[in-house]
Amino acid sequence: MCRRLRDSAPALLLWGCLAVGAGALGAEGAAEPEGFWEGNVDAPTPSTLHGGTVVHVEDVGTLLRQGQAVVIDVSNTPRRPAELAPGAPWLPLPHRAISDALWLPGVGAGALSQEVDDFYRSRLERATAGNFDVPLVVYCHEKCWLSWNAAKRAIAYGYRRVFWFPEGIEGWTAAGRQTLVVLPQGPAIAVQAPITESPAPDGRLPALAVLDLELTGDLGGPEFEAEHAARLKTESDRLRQDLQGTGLYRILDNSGAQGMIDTLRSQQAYLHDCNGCDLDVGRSLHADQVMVAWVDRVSGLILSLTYEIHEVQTGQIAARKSFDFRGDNNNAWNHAIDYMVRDLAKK
Amino acid sequence: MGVMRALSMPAMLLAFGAGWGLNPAWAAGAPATAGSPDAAGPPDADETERAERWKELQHALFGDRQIQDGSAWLGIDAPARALDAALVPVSLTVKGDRAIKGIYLVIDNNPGPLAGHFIFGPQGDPHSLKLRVRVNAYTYMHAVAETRDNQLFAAARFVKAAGGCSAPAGADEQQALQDIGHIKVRLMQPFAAGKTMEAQLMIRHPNFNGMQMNQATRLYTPAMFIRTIDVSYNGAPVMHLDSDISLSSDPVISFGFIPPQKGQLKVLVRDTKDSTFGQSFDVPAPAG
Repeated sequence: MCRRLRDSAPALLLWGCLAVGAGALGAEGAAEPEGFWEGNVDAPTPSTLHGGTVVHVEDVGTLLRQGQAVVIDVSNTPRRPAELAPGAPWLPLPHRAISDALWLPGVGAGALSQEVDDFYRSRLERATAGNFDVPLVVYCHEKCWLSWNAAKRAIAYGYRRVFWFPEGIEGWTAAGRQTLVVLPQGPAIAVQAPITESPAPDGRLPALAVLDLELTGDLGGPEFEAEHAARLKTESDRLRQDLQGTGLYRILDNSGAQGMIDTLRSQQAYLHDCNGCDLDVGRSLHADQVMVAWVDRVSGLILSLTYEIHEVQTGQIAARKSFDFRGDNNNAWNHAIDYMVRDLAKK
Repeated sequence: MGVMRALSMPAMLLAFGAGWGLNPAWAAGAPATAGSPDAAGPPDADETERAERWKELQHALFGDRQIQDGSAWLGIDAPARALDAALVPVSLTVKGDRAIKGIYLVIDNNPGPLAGHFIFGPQGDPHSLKLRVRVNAYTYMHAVAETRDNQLFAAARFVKAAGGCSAPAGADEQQALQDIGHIKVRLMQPFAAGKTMEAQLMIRHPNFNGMQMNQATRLYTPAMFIRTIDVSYNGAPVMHLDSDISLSSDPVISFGFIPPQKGQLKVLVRDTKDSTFGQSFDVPAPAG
C-alpha cells in the first residue's frame, strides 16, 4: 500500500483534496478502461460510464421514489483470516445497504467465473422480471471500481437504464439517507456472511474449536479413499465457515494444536470417540467448546451426519443431533452441512 | 537506504504531515470525549448505533470491567478525513504521570476491531505513540489505557475513511514481499541519559490481512501479518505490541523510551508464519 501511495502520491493528494472540496469526483477521475477494470478496486474511478448514467444521492432518491428501480450493492463481504490469533475478536458490522438493495458480492470483479456471471445475469433477470427497461442502480463504496464494473456488465447484458452511483454507501450515509441491514446473495459470498444474530447475552461469543469431520461405517473400499479425504477436508472448511457465519460462535483456528491433532489421529480411530481427547485439543486452543462431527456411511446412498458440542471445562455434551441424507457426493454433503448449521443456529 | 526506499519522503510527509503536524485539534489538545462526537463528528442519527457498537465491543474485549472517561489526559488523534484508508495515521498520547501499563487501540467498525495492544516495559515511555492503521468504514476509534492499578480509561475520535481493509496490497505481491523483515529505527532527539527519546520504527512487511483480492488471479492473498513486536533497551523491555490485521503494511510506529545510559535498542518482530525478524540499533546512533 505504501508503494501504491508512493507511486501515485501527487495524484492521490490532488484527488483527495478534490474529493474533500467538492464532495464528488470531478472531471479529474480516471479514464474509462476499454473492458472491465482489473486493477486495484479501491482507486479513483472515472466520472463517466459509457452506455450508463452517473447519478448522485438526489437522483438515487428520485429513482427510489419512483418505485421501479432495482438497487444493487456489489460490496465485498468481510472474511475472517484463519491466521487471526485465537481469541482475537472478529465482529463485522451488519451490512447496511440503500433501502432494500440486493447485496450481490463478487459480481463487480474484473473477471467473473462462469458461475458468478450466470448468477448475476439470472438474478437481474429475476429482479426485473426480464424487462430490460427497469432502471438498475449499482453502487458499492466511494472510490470503488466494483460498482463501475458491475454497472458496465449490466449494460453488456442488455439493460438499457443502468445508473451508476459512485459515491456509494458512504455518500448515501453522509447525506443522512436511510439504510437497511441486508444479507449477501449469490455464489461469491466470500467465505462467510456477516454476523446476523446478536451475540451471547454477556456479549462474548463462545470460542468454538471445530475438529475435522470424520467418516465412519462402510467406507466403500480403497477406490473411494482419495475422494473421501478431499471431501472431508472441504466439508470441514465449509462447516467452519457456516458456523462462523451464524455469528453465534467465535470459530478458532486449529493450527495452534495441529501437532496434537496429528498425534491423536495416529493413535485413535476417531477423535469424536476417544474418551474426551477432543477436550484436550480444545483446552490447548483455549476454546470454550469443541465440536466433533462425523458422517456415518451406511452405503453410497444412505448416510447420516451427526454433531456433538462438548463443554471443554466439564466435558458435558452441550448439544447433539443427527441428520439423515442421501447420496455420497459433494452436493449432498454440502446440503447436509448447511442444513445442520441452519438448524443449530435456530436454537 | 535499503528499507526506507519503501517509504519515500513525499509519502512519509503526506502521511505524517496530515496526521500530526497540521491538525489544529491536536495542537490545541482538544481530544474528543469517550463516546460522544467532537466537532468533526458524524450526524447525530447514527450516534445511538455507534454507542451501541462501542458497548458491544467493550463487553467483547474487556468483559464487565468498567471503563472511565480518560479524555482529560488520554489523547487519540487522526485526520477527520483520511486520504488513504489503508494508511490512516493515529496518534495516542498520555498527559501527566499516571503509571500506564498498556494502551489498546480499538477501531470500532473494523471487522477485527482490536487493532493493537501496547504494553509498556520499565524502559518504555507511554506518553506518545504513533502508528498507521487500516480503516474499513467510517468509525470511531477508541484508545483504552490500562493503568498499573488495573483501571481502564477511554478516549474516542471519529474518522472518515473506508475501504482500507480490502485495498489491494499493490499490483505485485512478489514486490511487496521483497525486503520483508527489514527494520529501521530513527531517533528523533539527541541522546541524553535518563531523558525520553522518541524513536520511529519502520518495518518492511506487507501485513497481508487476507481480505485483499488479487484482481489478476481473483484469489484472495493469504493473510500474513505481524503478530507481535518487542522492543527492549539493553535487555530491559521498552514496549510489546500485540498487533492485528488493522496495522498498515510496512508499519511505522513511533514510541518513547528512556535510555539510562548509552546502549542498544533491540527490535524483534514475529509474524503469522512464525518468521521472526530482529535487529539492534546503537543509541545514540553512530555519527554519519
